Amino acid sequence: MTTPPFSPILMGGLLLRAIPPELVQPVAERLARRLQDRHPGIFERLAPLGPRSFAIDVTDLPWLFLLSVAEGEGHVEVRAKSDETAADARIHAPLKVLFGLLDGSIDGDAMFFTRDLAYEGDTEAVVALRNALDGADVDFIADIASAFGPLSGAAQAVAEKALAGFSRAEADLAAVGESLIQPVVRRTDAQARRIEELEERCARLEKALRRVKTMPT
Amino acid sequence: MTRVARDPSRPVTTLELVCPAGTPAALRTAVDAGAHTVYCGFRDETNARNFPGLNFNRAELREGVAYAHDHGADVLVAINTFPEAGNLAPWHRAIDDAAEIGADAAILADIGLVAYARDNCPNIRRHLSVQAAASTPEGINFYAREFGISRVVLPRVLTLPEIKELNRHTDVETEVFVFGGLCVMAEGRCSLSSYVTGKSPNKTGVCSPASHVAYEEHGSGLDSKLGGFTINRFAEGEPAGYPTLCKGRFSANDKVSYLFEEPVSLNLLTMLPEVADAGVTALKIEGRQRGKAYVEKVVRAFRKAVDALDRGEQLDAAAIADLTEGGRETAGAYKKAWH
Repeated sequence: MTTPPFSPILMGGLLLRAIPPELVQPVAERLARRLQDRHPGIFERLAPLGPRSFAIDVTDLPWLFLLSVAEGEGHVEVRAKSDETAADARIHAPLKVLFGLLDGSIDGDAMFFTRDLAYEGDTEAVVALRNALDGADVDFIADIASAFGPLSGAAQAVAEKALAGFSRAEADLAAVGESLIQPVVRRTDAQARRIEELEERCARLEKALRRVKTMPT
Repeated sequence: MTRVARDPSRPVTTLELVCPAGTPAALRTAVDAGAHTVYCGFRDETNARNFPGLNFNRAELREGVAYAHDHGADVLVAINTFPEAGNLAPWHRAIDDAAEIGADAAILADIGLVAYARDNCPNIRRHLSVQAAASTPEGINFYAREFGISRVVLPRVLTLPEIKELNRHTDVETEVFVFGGLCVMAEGRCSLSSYVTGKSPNKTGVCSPASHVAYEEHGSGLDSKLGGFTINRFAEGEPAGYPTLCKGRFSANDKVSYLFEEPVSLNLLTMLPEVADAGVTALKIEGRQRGKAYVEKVVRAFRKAVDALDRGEQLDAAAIADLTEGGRETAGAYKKAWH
C-alpha cells in the first residue's frame, strides 16, 4: 500500500473529510463525461476487455472513485473509503501521480516499480487502462477549461495560475517536512551505514567459513 | 533479389535513432523528441507487443505515418510474430495494409512472411526482426539474396567486435538495441512464457501476458506471480519488477538469487562511439509497452547523444538513469564480461 506524500493535497484532504461523497459525485460525473467526450479513444481501447470496474483510491483524498467501463463508455461513482466497494482492480496513488498518469507526464511503470503507485486485482485491466490513458493526449486543465465555453481561455489562465501556486506551496511544504524529519534522517543514515558495515563483515565471515568447510581434512 | 532503397528525401544521419511507439500519442511524442524513425504495430497478434490497450488500428497508423512524414521521420511496422498454421490471413493483411498506408518498412521474422512481402508488396522495405535471430553474415546474406531484406535487427547476443566483423561481411544495414529491457534467451525461440501461461511472444505476441500476472501484498512486501507461480518477492521499499520467468528470483541450493538474469536495463548511451565504429546503421530503443514519459525522456537523451557524437562531444549518461529497470543497467553481451 502506498503512503501519501506530505503535500498540500494531503493537508487539504484532511479538511475535505467533512464533505460527503454525494456532494462530490456531480463534479466527478461531469469531469468523467468531459473526458469521454474529448477522448473517446480511452474507452474504445478498453472495450475489448468487456465490462470492468476500477476502484481508484486517491491516497491523499478522503474518497474512492469507482470507474466502470463497458461498451466504449465510462461511468464514475464517488464512495467513502470506509464503504465496501467491489471492483475488478484497485489502484492506490496520490492525486499528483494520478494526474501525471492521466496527462502522460509520469511513467506509470517507473511509478509502480518504485511503489509510488500500487494496485491489486486484474492486472490486464490495469495495464489496459494505463495504456488507454497514456495514448489519449489528455490535457486535464484544457479539458476542464473547455467546459467554460467562451470563457475557456480565462478559465485555463486561472487554472494555470492556481497550479503554479500549488507548486510553490508544495515546495514550501517539502522544505518544512525536510526540516522536521532531519534529526530522524541523520539517525537512520548512521544506522544504515552501520548495517552496511555489518553486512560486509557477515559476507566476509561466510566466505571464510565456506573456505574452511571445503578444506581437505 | 533487389532491395528497396530508402526514400532519398528523408534525412540521413550518422546513426539512425529507431524509437518505440505503443500508441499514436507516443508516436507523436517520439517524433517531437527527435526520433529519426518510429516503430509500431497493429492492435492484434501480428506483433510482439500485443498488450491490452496498446497499438494502432489502421486509421491511427495512417495518421501516424502522415505525422511522421510531415516531420521528416520514418515509420516501421512490426509484423514480427510467427503465424499459426492455417491462419495466415491476419499476417498477410497486416503486410498489405502497412504497404498501402505508406509505412517505410515492415519488420518481419517469419521466412514465409518475408517471401509474401517480397512477392506481394515489393515496394515496402523489408527489415528482418530480431525475432528471426539471424546472427551470422551467411544467414543475413541469405535473407538479402533470396528475399531482398534491407536491414537486420541483430540479436542481443553479439559483442561489439563480433558486430564489427559481421558488418565487414555484409552490406545489409544493421540495427542494434541500445536501451531498454533485455531478453536473455535466443529471440524467437524462447518458450518460457508459453510454458507457464500458454502464450508466448512468438505466436501470440506477448511475453508474460498481463492476464496471467498478479501482484500480492504480504506482511512487509510484495509478491509478483505469473500463471500462479511466485516469480519474485520484494521487500518493503525494494524496487519491484514485472514477473517474467527469465527475471525471476528463485531459491536454489539454499540461496535466493536471480538464476537467469537480473532485472537490469540495457544502456549503451556512453558506448555510442564504439557502436558507430562497429559499422551499425541504426540504434533501437526498446519499449513499445512503455508510456509517453519514458519515450520522451529516452528518445530526447539518445537524440542529444547522437547529435553530440556527430559533433565529437562527450555523452551524458545521467539523463536516463532513473528509467532503467530496477534502477540498474548493463551493456549486456555487447561488452561481454563472461565466457
